[in-house]
Amino acid sequence: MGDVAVPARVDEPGDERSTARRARLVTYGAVGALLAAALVQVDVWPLTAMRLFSNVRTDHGASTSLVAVGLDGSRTDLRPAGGAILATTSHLFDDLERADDARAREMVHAWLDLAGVDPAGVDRVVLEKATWVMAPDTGARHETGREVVAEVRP
Amino acid sequence: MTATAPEPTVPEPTVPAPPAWHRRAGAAVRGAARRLDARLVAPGPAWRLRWVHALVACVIGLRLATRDWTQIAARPDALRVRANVVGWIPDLPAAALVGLQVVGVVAVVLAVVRWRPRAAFAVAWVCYTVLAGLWGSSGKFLHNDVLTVTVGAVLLFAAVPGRGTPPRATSVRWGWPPRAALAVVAVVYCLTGVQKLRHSGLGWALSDNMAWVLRQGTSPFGPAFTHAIADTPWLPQLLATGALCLELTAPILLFVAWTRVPFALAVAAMHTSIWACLGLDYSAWVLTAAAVAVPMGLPWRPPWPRRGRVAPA
Repeated sequence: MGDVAVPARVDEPGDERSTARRARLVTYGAVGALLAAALVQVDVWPLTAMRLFSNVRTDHGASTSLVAVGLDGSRTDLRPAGGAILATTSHLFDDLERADDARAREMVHAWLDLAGVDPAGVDRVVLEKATWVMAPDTGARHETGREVVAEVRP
Repeated sequence: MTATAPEPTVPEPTVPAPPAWHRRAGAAVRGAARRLDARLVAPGPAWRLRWVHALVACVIGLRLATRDWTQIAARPDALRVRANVVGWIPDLPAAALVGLQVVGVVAVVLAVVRWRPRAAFAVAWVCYTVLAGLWGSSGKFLHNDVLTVTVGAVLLFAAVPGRGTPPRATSVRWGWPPRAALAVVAVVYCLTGVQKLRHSGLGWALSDNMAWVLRQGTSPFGPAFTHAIADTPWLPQLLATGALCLELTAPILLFVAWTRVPFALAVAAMHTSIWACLGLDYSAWVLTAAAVAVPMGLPWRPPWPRRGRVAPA
């Protein structure tokens, strides 16, 4: 399975210099961009600080939930009702705290729509933050506190 | 005219010479950097670049073909995050998303069969980057496709050997792209380890951290599986230490030719265990690391394609 005889090198001298310049620019540029993003903690996809599971986990934790409170006082947790798309956008829940009224209403309407909840029957949507402790033997989470951190009227 | 008094002479401040070890360390660092640079731009055989180029294209093709990208169309505009490289792209209907997917997969096939491979790879990479970027524009930063996109970005600048180029022909043009891809993989893995140390210290590996990660994860094999590992003395610490060591030593393991294939295998084992314990799919990282490290670690040329035609003079 021998190959045919081949030329050992196919470079021209000038060609080599420009190729080496490009090689350095691309390689050192890419490595530099990766290092800079990590150093200044930038997360602008696809540039990232590469923080994958970098925080220490303990038996304590916190979770947020977005709850639609109906005119009759009924509560609907929007995250499980909203399917995969709502689940992927759940990291935006925290933005409700900082958003102005118009933006908050716009986001809440979008989540209600994804969850199939009619805004006309909703009195308010509340963002709740719950803290919990996990039992090491059973893995059960015991809630230790819950507070409303944002409230939006749709 | 007035006579001016001579200014008093101020003795020049003496700068202490750097200690000898400092000079030696500086010289060693400069020498290592020069050697690294020389290795980067050394000539390389055509077959290595062909394999890395084709295999990374295959990873892109696999990612493009195996995901239902039309789910992006169901996301309301109000819940889209635009602070990324695809933030300027308008929301696309499902038909356009499928169109990008089909064009991307066709381009991958063309790149692999080496029909205008450079342009075909660029088209595939753009389709993949746009779709993956749009997919990840929902608030949570998704790392799943980051390694493939970054390695692919480097290979965009590679001059891919044509069909008529014999596999063993060497050129500076074909040497640097696989090495640049290798450098990107090394830096990415190393940074994931460095960030763990930076934000959590050695406690990340030596404390109960991994046990709690396992207990709080969602395994495809059920909670009993992860709880069994979490409750086994020292096993979580062993897994965490192994993962951290692998990440931190990635630059060394990928620098040395004979440890590149073992690195790819170790990365596969690590990400498979993450999937088994936490249900997180990092298969693109595994495949990309293998696509780069394995051809660069093989001491011999794979038997396919068997022979190349003589390059035109």
